[in-house]
Formats: sequence, structure tokens, C-alpha cells
Amino acid sequence: MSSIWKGLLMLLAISTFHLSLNAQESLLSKKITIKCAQCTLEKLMSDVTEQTKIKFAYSRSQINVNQKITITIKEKEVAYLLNILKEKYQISYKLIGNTISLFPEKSESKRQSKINVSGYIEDKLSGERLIGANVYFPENYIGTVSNDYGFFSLPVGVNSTEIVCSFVGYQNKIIPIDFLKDTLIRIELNPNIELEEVVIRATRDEVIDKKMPIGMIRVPMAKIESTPVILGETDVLKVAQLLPGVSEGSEGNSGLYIRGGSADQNLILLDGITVYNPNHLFGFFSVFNADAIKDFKIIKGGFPARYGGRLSSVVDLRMREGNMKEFSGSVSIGLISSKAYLEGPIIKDKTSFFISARRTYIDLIAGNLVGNFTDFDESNYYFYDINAKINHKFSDKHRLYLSYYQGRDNGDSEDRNEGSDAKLKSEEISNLSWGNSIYGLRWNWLMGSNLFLNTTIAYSTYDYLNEEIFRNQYIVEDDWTNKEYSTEVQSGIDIFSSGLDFTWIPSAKHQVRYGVKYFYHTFNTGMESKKFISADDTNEQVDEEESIYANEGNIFIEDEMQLTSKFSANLGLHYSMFLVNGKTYNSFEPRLSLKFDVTDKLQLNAGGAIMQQYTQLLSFSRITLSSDIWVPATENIAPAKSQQGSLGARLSINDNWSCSVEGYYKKMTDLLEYSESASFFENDSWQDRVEQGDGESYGLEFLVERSKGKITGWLAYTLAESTRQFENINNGETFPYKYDKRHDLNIVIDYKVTKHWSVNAVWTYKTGNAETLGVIKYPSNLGFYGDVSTSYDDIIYQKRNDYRMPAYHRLDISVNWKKQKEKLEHQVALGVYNAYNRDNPYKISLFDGSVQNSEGGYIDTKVIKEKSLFGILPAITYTINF
Amino acid sequence: MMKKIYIVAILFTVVFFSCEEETNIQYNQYVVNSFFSESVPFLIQTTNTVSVFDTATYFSIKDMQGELYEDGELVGNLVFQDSYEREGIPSEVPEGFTIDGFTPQSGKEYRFELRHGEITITGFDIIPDAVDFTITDTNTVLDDYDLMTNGIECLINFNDPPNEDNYYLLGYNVTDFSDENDDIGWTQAYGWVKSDDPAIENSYYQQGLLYTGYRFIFSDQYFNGKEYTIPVSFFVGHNSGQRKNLNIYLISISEQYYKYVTSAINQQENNDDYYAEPTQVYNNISNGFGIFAGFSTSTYVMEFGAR
Repeated sequence: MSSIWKGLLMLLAISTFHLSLNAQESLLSKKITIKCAQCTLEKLMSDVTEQTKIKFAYSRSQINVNQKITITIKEKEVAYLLNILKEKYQISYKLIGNTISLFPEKSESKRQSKINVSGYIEDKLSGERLIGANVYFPENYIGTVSNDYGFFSLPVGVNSTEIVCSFVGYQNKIIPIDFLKDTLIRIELNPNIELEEVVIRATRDEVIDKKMPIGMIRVPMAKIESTPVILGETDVLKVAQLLPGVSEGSEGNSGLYIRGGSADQNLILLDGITVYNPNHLFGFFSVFNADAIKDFKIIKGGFPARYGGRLSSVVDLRMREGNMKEFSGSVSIGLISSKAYLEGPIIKDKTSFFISARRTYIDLIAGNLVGNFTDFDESNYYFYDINAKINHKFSDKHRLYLSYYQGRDNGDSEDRNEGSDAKLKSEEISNLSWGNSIYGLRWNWLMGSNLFLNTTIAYSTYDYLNEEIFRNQYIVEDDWTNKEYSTEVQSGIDIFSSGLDFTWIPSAKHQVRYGVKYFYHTFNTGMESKKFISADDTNEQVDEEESIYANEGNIFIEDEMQLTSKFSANLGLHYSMFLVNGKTYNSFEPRLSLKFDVTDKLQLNAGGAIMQQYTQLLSFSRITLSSDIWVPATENIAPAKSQQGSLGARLSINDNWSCSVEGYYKKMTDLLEYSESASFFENDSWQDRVEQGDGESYGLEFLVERSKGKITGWLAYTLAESTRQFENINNGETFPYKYDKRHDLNIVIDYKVTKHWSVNAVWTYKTGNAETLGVIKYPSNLGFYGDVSTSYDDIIYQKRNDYRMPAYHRLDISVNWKKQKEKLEHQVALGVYNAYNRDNPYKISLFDGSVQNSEGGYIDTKVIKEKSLFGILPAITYTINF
Repeated sequence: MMKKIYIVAILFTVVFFSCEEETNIQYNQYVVNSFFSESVPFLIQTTNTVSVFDTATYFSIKDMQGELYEDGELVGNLVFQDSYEREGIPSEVPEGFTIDGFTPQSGKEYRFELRHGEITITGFDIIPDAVDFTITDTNTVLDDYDLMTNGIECLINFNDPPNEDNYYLLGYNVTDFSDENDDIGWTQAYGWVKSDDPAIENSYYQQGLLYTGYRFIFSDQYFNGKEYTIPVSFFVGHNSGQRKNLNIYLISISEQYYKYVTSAINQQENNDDYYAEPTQVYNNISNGFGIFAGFSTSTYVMEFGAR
């Protein structure tokens, strides 16, 4: 009996338990629909109770019922919701009767509380990856910016519910997320579209960006395209010259002279590949066609360790990748040049291309006119650029880029003369040509959720060629005799490079970059070939400086650290080695950049760097020539070095206004200059005609910017001094650097009048360049008694760069009209360069002249001649985008 | 907020224009010129710098006081003296500061001090020892019809002093005697001298420059401490049958002299040349400009024509 009862009771108990379990299971399997965006946990529980009658039990001391939850589920079981709460919010549960008890999840699950969210940020319309876009996880108070390939990665808590993504010129995007594991995402941003009625611009085109390290400025391409420039040619480098600490050399020169450094001290990178000559037409235009550039930044100090090889700055330009979605393009016709680009998918969302071309046509429309102003019968000049890029996406983890650039300047002239008796003919032909070519192959590999690799193989070359041919024909005894004399001068530099660049994000507080690079340099520092051909003889003489070959390698590591919520740093080390002619140079270069957010609006920053430069551009101090040669450090010539420190602050005054101030000091050693009296026409080796010396520069840079509203723009002012000292130049005394400018002020205004019309103005004021003129004279003493000659000549006290040219100032204005008609966008830009026709001296020289005395005679004296380059210059450009 | 910005802008403007720097050119600076030797009267010329646009002649600064030191020992006070002529020398000795009866000695260092108001101008240099030389006439050609060969080719031989850097001027002039029995002729410089010697070829050739006669200026970098022979061709003027003397000077000059002359030549050659680097003329005068440099002269006279 008892056994039976025991059995029945057991069966009853089991049945009851089973029924109970079934009841609980049915409770958890109840279907619910929840749409909860940033609602509280309490509200979430209330919604569930309302739909299921399930009650929740919890301790307020253990569970924060006010924490924000974002969950969207439709017709899912209650268990599904509870599991999400467990995984993402570390809230565990236990079912007791009809009540669900909530309690905090224990340590085991906490170990899995971080996931890596990585991905790419792209333009939604073109699929182009966006560089420097901001990614922010509000719940975790952490953020990052996309790298040069649009990639980002951050370890975040699983409780993250949204990503906020923003970028200049694009609409902000908030993306709800509910990731439970490492995830790779693609974020597509919509470009800003201005509505017809909108007057106040919603975009924020900031030059001052608190996320940027000290010394770094990123100029939005929209700013570059709207800034008025000479002859309507939009020029990236000319806009850069309007920034604090960046100066143009002389009028029209697109060279960058940054913080007292010379133009060759800038590491100019196009898609990460060094560009050696950034100038067309002796510097009046840069080689960078704005159509082809998507991102442009300058680093003036606090250099990250990944950069090296130059003393003063890094100018990093990235070419457009090409539209992955659809074909688009543009044709632009200007006064002196036309340009066009086309981009589109080769395989939609897989492979795209971009190609752009630009050519001047002074030679086509005014070649003979130019000849009339010169001594030649014909004189032609033109330059062209071609940029091309192909990018192919193998998968979300692998991508390949092929970059190409070629640009060239060509000038030729011909002069023919014939004797009056037709017995003598002569012909003089001159060809001048120089240019860069760049080829680059890059492979992006996302090796893990937090490890990114870029591999680069590149070739960059610059060459200069000048050919002169003189032909004579004359009749001797009724036979024509021919003579030809020709010279050919060549110089150039070739660089093959390869490198690996890793980005590793081990935690939200560290972004580590490390890598290795190798360069093989070939320096052709000058070859002159002379050939004489006559009827019965050919004589060829070649004077060639032996090419110099050099190997350069560097390794680097840097860590961008978020040390506290307010304090961040980028600490790095760059080591480089240069092997040339059996000599080895080494350089350990520590780099440091610090940022401290005093408040949300005020940031203090500091930076320091040691840099070493193994190649320098050897230029004459009075003129910049395309034939200037790049020369390496050799066994006789030491590499140039610099130590630089900077300190600054950035302040957001309000939503529209911001400002920054930055002070710097830079010490440079082993700079290279031609010796006193060295001449272009000498045949001696360059190494016998140079001096090495020191440089020093310091200054204060101010930038005030209005980045939002109907009127935007900035005011940039630099107060600076830059000097040089060479033992054998200027008697060893310190002298001002040629482009030392005490004051440099630029005001840039962009006024959006209506949706279609805008007016842009730039006013620039600079202290005049320092020139070696010599305005003091004194008697010489070159004779001596006992000899017959004791007469005197004047010595000109010609201290190096002792004379200041008059201050330079200029106003440029442009009016732009833009209208979209169906699929075509039409743009017309009317511009005026030097609107008030200021005669800014380009060159100033002393010449022998004479003045009339009181008796009507003439006395020999010196006269100053100033040459100005550009008066008022109108320009018009018509562009059609499709 | 806008008010604050305006205030900042005004302050900024004030600071900006108050910092503007005008180039301050000091025209009236002291100039001291002196080449001194055993063979010429000691003289220090004092003038001042002027603007290159000034067409007036230079004036001596006479109201200075000063002394001359020889190897650190006081020689005497410098006294201003007007210009005067010397017998047998066509050019007059210019005005300047001197010490009556004093002749400097080779191998010694001289330092001067001149004061004008509160300014003291100083400079120092040595007189290098003279270097004797011999001449070997290789092929004398006197041809009235061809200027390029109407001259003399000869070898100049000398021993460069060892263990020191030495600098030289090689110059010449020609004395024409109108009468065969004249003792005093008319001395003048001619316009052509030539050498293919590497020491000379790469030196500074003063033809047509600075109107100081025709000289080579060179260092001993190719023959330091050795005996050296330089082949030189001198143009000696038209041959009208009269007696001539070719006076050849090998002048040992100090390093400061060398730097001064070579830099002055370079400056004249490159002054207006954009394709050449400008040159600062060497200066060894403290608190002023100019040159205070020593030299010693060795002379060789070759006679031509009938006597």
C-alpha cells in the first residue's frame, strides 16, 4: 500500500512539476512586440507586463531600472527578450511562478561584455570611403575617426545601442545596434542636400577640429573649391597657403613654406606616395588637380611616428576612388585650361575607376602671341595632368587600389634667321620639359576585427630635361655647309618604395600603428651632353655627375592613447637608416602629441618631434627653377635634422565660432645652400658648391573660424621669425630666411547669398620677402702703392637678405552661380584676382643708372627696379557636372 | 558674444600694426681700408658707408684718435695726413692715418684701434713673408701685327713655404721708355695675361674687374709646401722698337687679403645674376667695414729692346 501511495504521490509530484514547468515554459514562450528606442528598463518591463501579464521582481539596489534600453522585436517570445537583456545589459533572470526575478549577471558573462565594432564609412551615393569621419558610441563615451581608408574599429560594451556617425559635408547618422559579437559594418552617409528654402547652411565645414592632433589641419574640399584663386584654377596648395603657419614664397608660387622651413622640407604625399615637384609653371600652379583630390591635410608639428624624412611638414593628399554606384563626371572650361573627370563602376559595388585630366592651352590659342613678346619666332608652353585610380573590393576584408599620376610641363621655342644675302641661315631650337610620374599599388587587408593592414608598393619619379640646338647653314663656293651644335641637360630623381602599415586597436583607449618602409633612391644630379656636328666631324662631350644610389629604411610605432576621459596622447618612435656610398646614417626620432580637454569647449595641446631629412632640394636663393636638383646626404654631406616643439589651445566659442592659437619653436641643422658666388652655369660637382648650416624659426599662429551659417570663413594670422646661419655665407652672421615673414594675415569669407549664388573673398597681407639687394656702398682698397693702380671701386654691402620688399597685400573675389537642371549641375565662377590692382613687387634689383645733376649733366648711380607680376586679373570658369 | 569678438578684433588689429617692423638701414657706418707692407707707406684710410644712390664722392673721417700695435706692443699714435706725391711713383699716396717714419715688418702682426666718439674701430692682420721667384723666358715674341702673340711666355718658379696656407697675387705691368737712355719710363698695365696652369686657371683672374691691373690671385692648394713652376704669357704692348721693362710681381698676401679680394671679385661678377648666389664681401673690421690686411712683394724685372 505504502508503495502504491508512494508511487502515486511520486507520479502526482512529477506531474505537478511537469505541469508547473509547462506552465513556466508557456509563460516564457508568450509572444511580444517591443519597439523601444532609448526607453527605460522600467518602461520595457511595464510593456511586457501589459502584453503578457507577467510580473517582474527585482531589487532597485541591484538593477538600474532607469537605464536606457534600445530593442526592437516583433512577435518574439519573452525568452528572446530576456536573453537579449542578459547578453547585452548583463541582466539575468529567474522564473519563479508567474514572476520573473531580475538580478545582475555574474562575472563569467562580464568577461564577454566587450565586442569589437569595426567597419567602413562610405558616401552613400558613390560608395567612396570617407577619411576622417567621426564615429561615436554615446553609451560608452568613446569615439574614433576613420583612417585614410575609411576604416574604423572600437571595442565597445555589448550594452551599446547606437553609433553616431558624422562627417563634414554629410548628414549625421544614428545607427541603432544590437550586436552580441565582433561585427564588421558599413556605414553609409548621405551628402548634405540643400533645400530650396534653406538659407542657413546646415553643414559644418570646420578647419579647426578638436579631434585633430596638434599641428594638424584638414581643409574640406568644399572650402578649397569655393576659394578664389588665380585665373580660376582651383588649387589645393594655394588654399593651404591661407592657413596659419603656411606661407607662399613669392606671388603666385604654390610652394609651401611652413613654419620657417623651405619648400623641400614638406613631405608631400599623394595616396601615400612622395611627390617631388608639386609645381607647374615655375610654381604658379600646383600639380594637384582639385577634381582628383578627396582629402587634404597638413601636419605642421607633433608629427605622428608613421611620417618621416622631412623637417617641416607633411602634406597628405588622397585621390578620389571612383563611384561604385553610378557614372558621374564633370567638364570645366577656364581661361587658360580645361579639365574633366569621369568616374563610375566597372563592376557595381565591386570595382570602380576614376580618371581626370587637365591641360592648359595657352600654346594653342596664343602661341604666336607669346612669340611676339619674346625674342623667339615661336614660343609655346603648356602643362598637363592625368590622375587615374582603380579600386577593387574583393570582400569586406580585402581591397586593392591602383593609383596613377602623370604631370608634365613642356616649353619650346624656335628662332630662325636668314642673312640679307641669303648665304647664311641660322636656327635655334629650345625644348624644356619637366614632370612627375607616380604609380602606386595598395592592398587593404582587415586581418581581424581590430587589426588593419595597408601594404604599399610605389614608384615615383621626377625628371628635368633641357635641350638646345643651334644650326648654322652657309654657302661656301655654292655649296651649303651645315653645322649643328646641341646641348642637353638632364637631372632627376627616382624612388621605388614599399611598406607595411598596421593599425591595431587593442582597446578603446589605444590605437597602435606600426610598420616598416623601404625606399630605393636614384639621384641623377646632373648630366650635360654637348654635341658638335660639322660636315666632316662629329664631336660629342658628356659631362655627367655620377648617379647616386641610396637605400633608406624606416620602422615606426605609435600609440594613440586615451589616458583619461580628458587627456589623450600620441606617443611614437620613428627609426630610420640611410645607406649611401658606403656611409650609413641612423636616426632615432621620438614623437609626442598631447591633448587635454579642459572643458567641452577648451582644449590644450602640445607636441614635439625630432626629424631627419636625407634628401634636400638644392635651389638658388634668387630664383626657383625646375632644374633645381634633389640631392642626397652623402659621405660628405650630412642629413638635415630638426627639433620642434609646439604648444596650443583650441576654443569653441559657440556653435558657429571657434578659434585656436599655437606657438612653435623649431631648430634645424645641416641645411643645404649653395655657396656664395655659386653659379648655375658652373660645371663643378654640386658637392663642391654647397654649404651646410643651421636654421631657427619660431612663431605664434592664430586662427578664428566661423564654420556655420550664411557667412563662413576664417581669419588666420601668423607672427613669426625664421633665420639661417652658415659658417661660410654672410661672413658667418645670422641672416633672415628669404621667406621670413613677420606678419602673415589671411581673411577668407564665403557668403552664401542664395541657394544658387555665393560670393567668396580672400584678403591677404604679408611682410615683404627678404632680398639680398645691397643698398649701402663703401670704397674698396684693391690697389696698393708701388703698383700703378690705386683707383677705387665701390664695395656693395650686400648682407644676405638684408632688404625687405614692400609688404604684400591683395584682394581676390569670386562670384559663383550653381544650378541643378535635371541630371546636370551647371556652375559658373567669375573671379577677379588682385581686385584693387596692387603692384606687389615680385623681384627687386639694383641696376647701374644715372641721374641728372643741377648742371644738366648726368651722374652714374644705382637705381632700384621693381618688377610686378600680376595686376588685376579677371577669370571665368564654366563647369558642368553630371 | 559678437561684442567680445569685435573687441578681440580691435585688440588684434592694434597689436598687428604695432608690431610692424621697418627696415632700419644705417648708412653712416665706419669704413677702414688698409693694405700694409714693407714696400709701401703705412696708411689707414677712414671713410663711411653711404647709400648706393648717393652720387657724391667719399670723404675721409679725420677727427679720429687711435694707435697702432705691433705684436701687441704699442708702435705709436695714428695721425691723419693729407695726400702727397712720391718721386718716381705716378700715383699719389692718399690721405689717411699714419705714423711718421714707420714701416711695418713682414712676419709681424699689426692691430689698430681708432676711436670716434664712443665708437672704437679695430682690426688686425699679419704681413706674410715675401716669396722670391725666378723667371725663365721660354719664348719671347714681339709681333706688331698680332696682339695675341705680342708678348712674352715665361716660367715663374718659386718655393711655397711649408706647413701653412699661403696666398698669392701674380701681377705685372710694363714700363715703356721713350728714349733708350731714359731712366724713368711710363709704367702702365696691359690687358692680357694667360696661363693654363691649374693653380692659376681655377683662380680669380681680375681682368677688367675693379681696374686694379691684371693679376691672378690664387692659393697654394695645389702645391702646398712645394717648389712650383707656373707658365704664364704676358702681353707687353705694341712693339715700336723702344726699350721696355716687364715688371712681374709675386705678392704674398694674408688670408684676410685673399678673402677680401676674391669675395669682392665674386660680388662684382654675380651682383645682378639671378642664376648665381650673392656674395658678401669679406670684412675684418670690428664696428665697421673694410679691410686691414698685410702683404709682401717680390719683384722681377725683364728688359726688352735695345739699351
